[in-house]
Amino acid sequence: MLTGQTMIESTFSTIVIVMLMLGMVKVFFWVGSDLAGRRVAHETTLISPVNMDINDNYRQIRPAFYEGQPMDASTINSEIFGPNRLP
Amino acid sequence: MLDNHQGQSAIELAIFGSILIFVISLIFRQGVSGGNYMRTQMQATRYAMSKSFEMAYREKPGRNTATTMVIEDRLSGDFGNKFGSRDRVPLVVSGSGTYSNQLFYPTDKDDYNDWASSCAAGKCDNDVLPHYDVWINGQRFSFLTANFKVVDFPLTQPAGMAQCGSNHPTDSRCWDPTCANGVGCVVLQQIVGNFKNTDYNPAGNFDIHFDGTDPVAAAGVDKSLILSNNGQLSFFWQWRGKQAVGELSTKEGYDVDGDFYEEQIIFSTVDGATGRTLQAIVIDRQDGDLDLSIDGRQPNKKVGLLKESQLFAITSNGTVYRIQEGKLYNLRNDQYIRNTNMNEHVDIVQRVFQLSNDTHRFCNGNIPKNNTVIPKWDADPPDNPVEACNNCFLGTNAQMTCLNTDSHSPDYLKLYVRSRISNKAGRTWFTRTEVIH
Repeated sequence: MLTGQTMIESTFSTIVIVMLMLGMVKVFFWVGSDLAGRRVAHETTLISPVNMDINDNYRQIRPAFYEGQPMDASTINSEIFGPNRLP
Repeated sequence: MLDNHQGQSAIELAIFGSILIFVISLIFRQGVSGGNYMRTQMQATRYAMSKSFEMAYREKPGRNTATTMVIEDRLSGDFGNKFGSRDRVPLVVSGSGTYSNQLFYPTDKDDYNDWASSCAAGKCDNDVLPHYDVWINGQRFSFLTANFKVVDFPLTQPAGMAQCGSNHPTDSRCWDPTCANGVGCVVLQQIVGNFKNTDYNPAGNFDIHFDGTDPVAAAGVDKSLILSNNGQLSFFWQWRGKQAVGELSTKEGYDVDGDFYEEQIIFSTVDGATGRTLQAIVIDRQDGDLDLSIDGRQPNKKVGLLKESQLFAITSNGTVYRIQEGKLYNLRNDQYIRNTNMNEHVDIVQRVFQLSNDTHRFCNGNIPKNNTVIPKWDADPPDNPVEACNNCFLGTNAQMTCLNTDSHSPDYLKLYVRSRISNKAGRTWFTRTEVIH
């Protein structure tokens, strides 16, 4: 056993595991937010108050009511480290 | 634990890390599939609601209750293929919506007159008739599930119509020479639930097939006695006869065309001299593009989306996947290195929809009706997606959405919906480099 072998391997493994966990958090977040966001948008628009106007009524039930959540797979664009995004 | 402990962490990481990555990919794949399904489901429901609302707003009763079916073939996540996902997962969802504002204003005489006027002008306004909207990979098919029908009643016994009580298994109608003070009239039938007291029916209440034998009447026993004891156990329903005399009730359905299915009466006209019914205008649910009433009375008949489905892939010059690498530009000092990996093919998904009747809404003989010049609201069907008619496997028609209008073909009225889906998914990386002098 080389000197520091365990330390080096553990450090390397820890870094990789942290990256894997970050990826897992992103996937969990995206899957949940995409499904929940669509459901919330669906329910919200359906019960939103409207005036008796055709455009206002149609706004409630338009088929294209929601855009899918962006994945933001790259960490530099994600919000894991805060809301600061690159332009 | 390894004997010399070298690489223990790395091996564990490799094994459990790959398992973790696999699990993450499964979660991601399920998330994508679940998201696609939910999106399609909500779109179908919302589309049905919006169509019901729009039609009610225009006071058109055809979609008081709108029903929509959406079929989409979407790429699924495929993490084992480095060339990107190729697998398509079919999503088939249905949605319906009812805008209740016009719910109690069903299709009536005025609607029929408007429809007849529009047809006389060359373009039928079918929005007063019930529809079934189907979206297949972006192509919209607006099928009629019923149609107007005008039925004239004879005032003398026609040659092909049997007298009531005799054998007439192909036509539920019969001739009763005793009605209307002995001048005779047609007897129409309707289906009613079984009950103790049978109404007038010279054709026989329980002569189910109209072969001239009423099993209850033939027993020679008092009907009411049989019905109260054994008859009611044997028969779930019975025919009730209605002499075609006077105006037919719009609140009831009668089989006015003899096909063993009742039609919805819109209005009727009466012969002033004898009081007999001259003509009935009805909504016939067996005369639309789709006859959704098919049951045991029409054995071996099919309607709607059939099980057969095929997927073809057409590639560009035999290339399925395109890889380009190397220098792209060399302008002065700037160089760009590109790396392109992308799919380049077209998937053709063929689905088959069996129609019931040729209503001439999609094809005029061998020529598809092109309604692109007609405003969307007025076109029928709007933006007709049928591109070819008759011979659907001709070389030039093989990749087109096509309706078989050849009445001699076993595939008559099969609608081949061919969705051409381009797959150019991939990635292109451009890397700008500078030459240092």
